[in-house]
Amino acid sequence: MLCESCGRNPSVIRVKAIVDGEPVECALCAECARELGYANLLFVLGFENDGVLNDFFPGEPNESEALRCRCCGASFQDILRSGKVGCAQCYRTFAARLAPFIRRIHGSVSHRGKTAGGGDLPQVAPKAQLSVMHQRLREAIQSEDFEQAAVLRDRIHEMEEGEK
Amino acid sequence: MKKWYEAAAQDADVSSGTFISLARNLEGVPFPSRMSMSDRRFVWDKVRETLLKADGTEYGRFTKISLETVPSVHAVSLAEAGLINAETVTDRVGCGLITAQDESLSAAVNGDDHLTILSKAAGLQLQEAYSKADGLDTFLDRNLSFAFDRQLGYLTQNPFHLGTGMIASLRLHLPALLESGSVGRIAQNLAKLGLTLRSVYGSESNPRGAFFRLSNQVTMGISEQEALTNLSSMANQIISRERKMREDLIHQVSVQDTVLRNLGVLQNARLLSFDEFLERASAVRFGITSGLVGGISVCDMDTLIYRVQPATLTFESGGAMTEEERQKHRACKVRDALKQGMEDS
Repeated sequence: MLCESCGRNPSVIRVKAIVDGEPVECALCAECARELGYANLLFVLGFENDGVLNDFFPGEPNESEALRCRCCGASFQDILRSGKVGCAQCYRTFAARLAPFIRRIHGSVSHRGKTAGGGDLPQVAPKAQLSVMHQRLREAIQSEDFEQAAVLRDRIHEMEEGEK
Repeated sequence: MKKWYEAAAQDADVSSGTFISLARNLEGVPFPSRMSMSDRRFVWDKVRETLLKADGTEYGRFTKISLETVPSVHAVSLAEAGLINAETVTDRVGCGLITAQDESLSAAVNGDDHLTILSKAAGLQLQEAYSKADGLDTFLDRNLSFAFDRQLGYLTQNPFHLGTGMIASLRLHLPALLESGSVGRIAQNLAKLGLTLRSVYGSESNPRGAFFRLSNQVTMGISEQEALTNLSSMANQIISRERKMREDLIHQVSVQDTVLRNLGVLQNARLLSFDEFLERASAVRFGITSGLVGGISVCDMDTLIYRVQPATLTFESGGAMTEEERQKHRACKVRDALKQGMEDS
């Protein structure tokens, strides 16, 4: 199917858009997706399915599936498959693997701009994340949302294990 | 309450709007694609709690819209206004929107990122719009603690937005450059400089009206101010070329004839599709800025363009409509606006 924006290139991704007052799905080519702000990691790799993904990492499919982010549970393959990073912790868990992609996207891996916390905030430590999650666990228990409390307890446990 | 686009502004003859968006996320909570319902509600509750702390200030007066409670046509009208994305329209549970009454400053919650802060201003006002977005960002960050890495900058769901997380855009009306056939070449040259120029309505192969969005594409290794300066300098060059070409075009009788025929149709039509309206409104807007059409300002014309978008028109009219009813209602609104303007002059 041809890209519904430029009408020239083959489409590689379907995105949602509003047309005539209705939400619809549109097929876009890689170039249009990037220019319209829908680009994700898949476009940097230039492929879109698992078969090619395995060719790209011939020696390590099992390894990349085995390592999961302690906060959101995403594996590196999950990130590549969806083109979306799972959480802030993923950038630390998969730092070495994401770095080449980030360099290809931006040509630079060095932020120059506003600093969160007004410049006087130290880089967020994993401990700060843990304290947020402990607070959420307390809130979940108080509101008797035990299902969520169990998920949070497991996440906290895995993060604490990882820090040892 | 008037909306942000109803204010007269400098350079509005070519730039019909300035937009700054900032992508932000909270530490310790999965990004939107991996959020549970409980995660979504947690973030939405946190944002609302934070606004309570701003009682008595501009942020304390923000409207808080829980998107799962609004009807679909309202959600689409919010997407047409650029306040939420199309993805959110189809999955609204746990998603929210906080916005100033005039919609000049807002933040979508649990859309592409936990927060997409958006500042809008009429005309070309990059610094003013950035300063408003920056103020809300600083206030929210103080209370929510955003995910940030010294090397990577703001951590975003889409790695394309890492760094500043800022996309600055201008909505440019370029009828003369489009007529000359040079928009494609300009877009190609801008791409080499890390900027994009895309049509706002219709597709690239079939743009509707002559509205284009000029945006920065690079967010890493460049500061917010550098990105704004780059965008502003390129925009100024495009704006002066567009003005020069408009001056040449408006003296041609055939061009004057086209503009006034389009005005005639808008003043008399009983049915108007949005696509047809855009094409004709674009020609009339050019006529207004060139002094050929009087009695209505560019600002009135831009207001009309926002107000007669399909879902916005349906939502503001208070109910479901067939396509024919919508076209009839649109034609009526357009006639009234043009009649009003002509009578006032």
